[in-house]
Amino acid sequence: MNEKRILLSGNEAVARGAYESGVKVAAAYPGTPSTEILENIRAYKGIYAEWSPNEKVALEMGMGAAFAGARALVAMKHVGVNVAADPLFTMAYTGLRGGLVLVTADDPEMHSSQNEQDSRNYAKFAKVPMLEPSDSQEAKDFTGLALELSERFDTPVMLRSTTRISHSKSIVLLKEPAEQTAEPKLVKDPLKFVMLPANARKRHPVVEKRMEDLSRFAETFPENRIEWGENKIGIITSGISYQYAKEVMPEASYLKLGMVYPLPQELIRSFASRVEKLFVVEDLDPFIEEQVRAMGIAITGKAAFPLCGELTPALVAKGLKGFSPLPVDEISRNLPARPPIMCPGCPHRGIFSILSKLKLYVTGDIGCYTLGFLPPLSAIDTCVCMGASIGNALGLDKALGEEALGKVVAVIGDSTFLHSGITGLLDVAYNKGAVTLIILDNHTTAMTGRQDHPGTGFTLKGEEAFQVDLVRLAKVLGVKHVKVVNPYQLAATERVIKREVKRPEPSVIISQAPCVLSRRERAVTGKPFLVNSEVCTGCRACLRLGCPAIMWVKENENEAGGKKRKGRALIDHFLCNGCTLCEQVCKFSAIKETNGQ
Amino acid sequence: MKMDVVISGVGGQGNIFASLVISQYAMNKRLNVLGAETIGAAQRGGAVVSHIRIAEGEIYSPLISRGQADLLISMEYVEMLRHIRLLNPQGAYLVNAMKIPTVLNNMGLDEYPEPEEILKAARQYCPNGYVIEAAATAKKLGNIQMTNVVMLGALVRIMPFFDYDEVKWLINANSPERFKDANIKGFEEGFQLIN
Repeated sequence: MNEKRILLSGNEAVARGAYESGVKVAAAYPGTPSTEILENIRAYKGIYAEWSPNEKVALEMGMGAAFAGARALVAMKHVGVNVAADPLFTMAYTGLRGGLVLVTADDPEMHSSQNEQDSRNYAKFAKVPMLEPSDSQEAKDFTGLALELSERFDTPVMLRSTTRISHSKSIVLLKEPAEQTAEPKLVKDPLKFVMLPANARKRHPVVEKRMEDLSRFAETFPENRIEWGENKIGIITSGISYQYAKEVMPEASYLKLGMVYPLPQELIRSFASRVEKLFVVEDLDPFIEEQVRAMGIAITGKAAFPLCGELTPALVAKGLKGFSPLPVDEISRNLPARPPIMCPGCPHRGIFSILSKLKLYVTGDIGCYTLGFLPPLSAIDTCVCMGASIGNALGLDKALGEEALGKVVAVIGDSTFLHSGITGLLDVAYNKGAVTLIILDNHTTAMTGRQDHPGTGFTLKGEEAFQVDLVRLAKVLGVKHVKVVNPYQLAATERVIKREVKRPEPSVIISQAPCVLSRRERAVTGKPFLVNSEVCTGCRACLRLGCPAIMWVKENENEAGGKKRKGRALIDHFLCNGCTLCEQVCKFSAIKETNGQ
Repeated sequence: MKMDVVISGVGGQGNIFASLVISQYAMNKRLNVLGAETIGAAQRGGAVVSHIRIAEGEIYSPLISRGQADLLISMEYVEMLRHIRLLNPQGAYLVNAMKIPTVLNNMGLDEYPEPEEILKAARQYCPNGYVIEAAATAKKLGNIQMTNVVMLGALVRIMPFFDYDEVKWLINANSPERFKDANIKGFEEGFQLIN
């Protein structure tokens, strides 16, 4: 027995599946809950794996690898598919030579996302098949199946995960990698791969025919399976919803769909005819429900289960039984919330304390710095999608003109800027926007766990790489005024921000300091600071930085020792990273550096 | 048999290591294991929670539902009470005697409840609770990061499901070389914390 049985998360299992099924090229841009797929693939020998600047580029390079006949995997979070949608739709026309699987990790409940779009709609829209695993074993197996189907039907195949599949662990049986797949080679086939109108018109009927073939295939696809139980209730389901339904109603009959698009219509009809009441249990949109209903079959779906947020076993029980044996509210007491916050010593804190003080309208972007929205900094006014800060600021400028001058600033992280900000800045320069952009350059993709990108000088595999120079990049895009600031120097940084936002021309401020969690570089000493309780007046200026290391100690009159204060600040010795911001904002020189003891 | 365990705490307290040891223990007994982790908020001082489900028979949902957990292990008072309703009132909770204020507490924008109040509310819900000086013990041994292994020691004492020697072996096997001895010591001390 060579079989090994281990506990893997869904993401680790997808990576293992890629290895076992001979994937040669893998690409992604990090995004929760998909990030760990590529982080795990990088360790497997024989796979070229990269962080691409964005999902569109990742998919295009995966497509190129598949044009050569290699097997490719491209991973992204659900909103990444929006970025990659352009190549996806036309890839359905061209088909490929090697297999290609596009893994999308959806985020019902928006644990770490700006919307909860349901990627299954993309499968239907782009006319590509989609598989959906229910646990880690299936995540691994379906990765291989997706590649086989991709080659058999000459189409990209989508694999849909959700947060609860990607980040849950279950037991997986490992196998050794299959025999070598076909050796990639250069083969010209312009009629298939050059999507001029004349060629594309010939390819569209191929796509429609392929969907018919796939629909027929779905009828006998072993991963679309019926599990007969009692015939009173029949449940059509897939993904994590299958597990929740089995948990709360193991006695029912199930049609478990491993392929969620296209649907096996005959199988559904036959299943429906043999049960008394038919349910569909699915996260987010009524995707299966609407198709079943269009077949003229009565089915209960979103009438019993919520459209918004993720399902839980309790919600599924409530929908199936009309009542919940497990009450849905899990926290009844009013406990203090514990939201994620910028770390002690975070380089973003200085910039946001200034933006907050200047009361600017801040168009924001996607990353750790979105936490600048939270009190007490409260200095983010918009956050839409990767790169939107820049276009949003330009739109405000063009709509408001003089009115907005000096009042608006855009902020974006370095990784996000390289992902989707470059074209926005090009627009600002080209169309003479009076826009000031602050690039918060912390030399990493911090929010998703510090991944490298073209600005860090390292690749996913840890090799040294060309490091893009953001100053020169902004200049060649046409921005004349580019300033670099150290965000730990509050007064100097504030002067630059005040001057640049008033400039009626494009300008860029690059705030340069490494993420405080960086393993490579440090900008702060790590030596904690101390509040002199004799000198502290209790003015709270340091507390307005929103630093987790600074605490408020309430005092009554006796404790204050005759001082007119209601309390004083205290710095947590263990948490403080010695960034000096509190020392700088203290007007009474009550905060001093210690010698690190 | 079944054993549903919830581990709650604040990012950086070592939830993941504790859940790894518990999962591997069950794997070695050839039981079914499912787990769910919150990832993402961990590095920024956010609340973190792991669900571990262990059973002889079939189990499906990686998420533990209200009233289902046999054991709640919490690295901090508030994070214990936040998840107490996942616990079966006939089960047990194990809490590290420590309060970690939130940033809003620190700023005086809301209040961290008195630990005594928290424990009172917990006792009303589930009588079988253990408050462990795990962080203090870890600190005494030289490193507060060992709080999690001290908690594992106490866990083995109260839950006969876990075998002392096997858990010790797993802690050793999963610890980086330079922490092996200290982690074993922490585990042993944790076991002694409950009489």
